Amino acid sequence: MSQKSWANTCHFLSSMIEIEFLGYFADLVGCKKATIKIRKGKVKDLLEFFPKILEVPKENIIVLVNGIAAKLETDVKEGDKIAVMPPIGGG
Amino acid sequence: MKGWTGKILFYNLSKAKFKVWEYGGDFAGKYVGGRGFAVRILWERAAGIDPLSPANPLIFAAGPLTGLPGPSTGKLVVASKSPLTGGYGDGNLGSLAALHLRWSGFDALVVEGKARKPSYLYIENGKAELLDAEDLWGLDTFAAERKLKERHGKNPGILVVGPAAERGVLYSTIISQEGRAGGRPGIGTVMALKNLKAVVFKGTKQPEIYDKQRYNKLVAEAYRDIEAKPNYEFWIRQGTMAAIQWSQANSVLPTYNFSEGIFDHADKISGDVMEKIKVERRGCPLCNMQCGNVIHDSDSMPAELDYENVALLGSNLGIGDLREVAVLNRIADMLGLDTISLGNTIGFAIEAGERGLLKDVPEWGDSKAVRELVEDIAYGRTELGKMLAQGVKRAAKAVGNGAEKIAMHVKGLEVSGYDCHASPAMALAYGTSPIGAHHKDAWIISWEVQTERLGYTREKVEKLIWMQRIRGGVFETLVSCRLPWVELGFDLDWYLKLFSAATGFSVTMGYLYEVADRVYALIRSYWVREYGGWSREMDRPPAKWFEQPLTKGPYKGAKLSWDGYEKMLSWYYNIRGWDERGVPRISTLRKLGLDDVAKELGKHVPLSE
Repeated sequence: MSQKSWANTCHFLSSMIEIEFLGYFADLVGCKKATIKIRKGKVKDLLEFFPKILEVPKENIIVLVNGIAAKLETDVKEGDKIAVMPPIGGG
Repeated sequence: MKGWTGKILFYNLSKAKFKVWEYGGDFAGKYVGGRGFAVRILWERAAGIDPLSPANPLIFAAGPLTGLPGPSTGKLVVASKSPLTGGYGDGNLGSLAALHLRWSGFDALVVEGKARKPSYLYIENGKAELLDAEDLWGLDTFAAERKLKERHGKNPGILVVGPAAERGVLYSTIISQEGRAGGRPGIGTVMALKNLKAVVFKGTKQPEIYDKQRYNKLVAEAYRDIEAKPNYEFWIRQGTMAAIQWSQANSVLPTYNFSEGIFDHADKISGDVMEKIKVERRGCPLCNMQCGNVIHDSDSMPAELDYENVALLGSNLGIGDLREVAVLNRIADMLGLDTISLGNTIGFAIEAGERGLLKDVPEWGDSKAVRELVEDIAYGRTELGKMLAQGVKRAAKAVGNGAEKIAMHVKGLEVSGYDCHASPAMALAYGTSPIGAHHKDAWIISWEVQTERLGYTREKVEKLIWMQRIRGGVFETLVSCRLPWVELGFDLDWYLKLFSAATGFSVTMGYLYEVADRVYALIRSYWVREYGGWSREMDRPPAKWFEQPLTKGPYKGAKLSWDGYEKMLSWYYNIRGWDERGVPRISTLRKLGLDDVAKELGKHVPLSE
């Protein structure tokens, strides 16, 4: 079987905010996890680092901040864990 | 008629005779196929019967798109009065049998009565024959199907039941192609009780298509459209297994008998782990996005995985080893047990053991002991196995001492793979599903996560009903797989085009929604008649989600509110045109062209105007 392999982690400067990409979003950005240096900002500021994700229609992007659903305007700060994923259909 | 064959085969096993009903365009137009045909036939032929008696019709129903070339149209509805719930029961499986049923000249097969000895039905090009199955009885589903292939050639459509059904386990399914399963509410049990081990279909004539040239052109474009979807390549790699990680991230992964929504070992049973050890992909005929992922299980045997069976036999039982989960799934398929109900009943037993309500049960994560229990259930080897074979509702009643509080079911059907402590709309989806707690009619969590997740709003109820109309109505009556739409975003408009090219009738989505509403009202009427009445509590999800909050994760402390749920349930009834008890109103039934149903139902329960 053909299998896709990802780099484990993309590093942008130093470890401040951790972002995990689920589903085919990991394919789009080329890694499953990234760490980004932003002391504070908004979810949309983080996504700026990933232009491929921004090409996806907004309603097809789910963002969780520390496991809770967030919006593009939600504030994020150092130490937060972010997960970015597409919606799924639930079988 | 074009698209439909216009024929339904009725086979009476007691008399070993068949007759063919040539139905007209009115019936087709009103019910379309699949679930629509099944519920109308049950309404007329299965009133007040014991589901475990020979009088219970066993129905295999296709729709106008089934078996025609087209994306994921190799599906079949199987239905009966459910021995597990006592109400309407159906399931849907992908199989060559779907194609060959239609190619042998029929849109549905209805099996009635009981054969004198173990038998199987052989249906080929308009004819049906009852053959001896003494040598197949007792065989597991894989072995039985292989034997039938030796007898009837490599590629007929074969549906079989396993040892679990033969011994009356109430959540036995019908299996095909060593991994396709359908009929959660005990439809396999009904089949075995008729002494029917298998049905073999062999046909050579595709139903006539109204505009074949246009149809074929559409189909080629449709397949290409699916393959061009942005998540297609990822889907091919992981299929539904990607949902393990997704559900974990969103705190809905069933864990420890639906006590939690996250599992500490989820990363060991995820789609990523599966992808690394995957050896093969399997699926249904006519599908270009096959979702069956095969790995070698811990017995080194090929075993197929999907989200539901990994969630229920993995995290829900505390088992964090994918190859061990794969063994349990393979054995369940071989024995013909529904993996969802199995994961529930065993989870219930483990939790009951933890609470001191049951003795000599496995512990969380003990896959070896669970495996032994699976076989005890299928073969009725122990008292515990026999009790759990009756499903979680009856088992909880037998255990007593408050065990009902940890029994995860709605109307007697065990809950499928999504925890609802923090998902009110999904809880309503389970509460109002027409077969009991199953997700196929509506799965609303992605949408719910993106809105006011913990809220109880009318908007959620409207969205839920819209989903039921499409998933439970359109796809279950056309009889085509919903996954191209739900998972890859394949546009619903394709189905209108295919329907029109196949049948010659140009219809709108509004027409298909009306059929869906008619089918829903009839299914609900069937439940009400068979139960001799109805009350709201029948549409309530398990008490655990309301009374025992999550203890970890981002939604720690979350639980559902009874008041909020009741509010949503009232909106649900109101939009559907059902009264406050959940019974369809006379005006609703009339509006849907079900005047005869209103008249008949009114003899059993008082109806509201």
